[in-house]
Amino acid sequence: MGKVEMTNRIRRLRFDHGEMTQQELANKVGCTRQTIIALEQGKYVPSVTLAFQIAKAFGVTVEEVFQYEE
Amino acid sequence: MTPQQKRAWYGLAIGIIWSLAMVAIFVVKGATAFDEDAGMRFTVYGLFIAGVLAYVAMLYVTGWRMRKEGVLVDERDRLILRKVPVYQMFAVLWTLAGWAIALSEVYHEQGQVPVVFTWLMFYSAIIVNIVFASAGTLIAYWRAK
Repeated sequence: MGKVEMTNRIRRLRFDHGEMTQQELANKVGCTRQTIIALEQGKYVPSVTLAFQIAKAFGVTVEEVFQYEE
Repeated sequence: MTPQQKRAWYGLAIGIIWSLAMVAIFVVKGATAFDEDAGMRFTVYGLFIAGVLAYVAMLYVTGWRMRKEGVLVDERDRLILRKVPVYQMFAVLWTLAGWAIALSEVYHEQGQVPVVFTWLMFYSAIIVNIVFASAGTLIAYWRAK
């Protein structure tokens, strides 16, 4: 099995949503700012629940936020 | 720095001071004085209990402050903190292995080990366990970066 990579567009989506800060997004989805930082840097893969919460916060589907590449 | 990391630094500070104080007593008085000197024994018992109480008080105060400030522990924090017991376990195992090797080598000729070392092994295992609750937290957060 090849190397699996999860990428995301959280940073882009934050800026598209009125330059939302990391803290504002963290407050919306109920996680810490450190988790948003780790997500944006690709150092943390979120749970399915958190992924859905982030997508919901931006009003988009999970696939529009997270991409899975093999 | 997350509140958990701050708490870990406090715990580590207590653990290091506590360890140094314990080591200092045994270095100054000598390990075998533990059997002969009642004053030293009570000093060691007192210091051991004081260390545990200081650590528990720190956990209580920082925990109360975190609850008061509504500090959030999210899924990433929980995932990181789940690794801490592994660091603690390995630290304690290596400590006991260190004792076993050192005592076997030093007292091999005599075929017996002074009773004081059973206490020293116990104290060191407890102290290392507590120190690595904090050090393990810091290592786990550092590795998650």
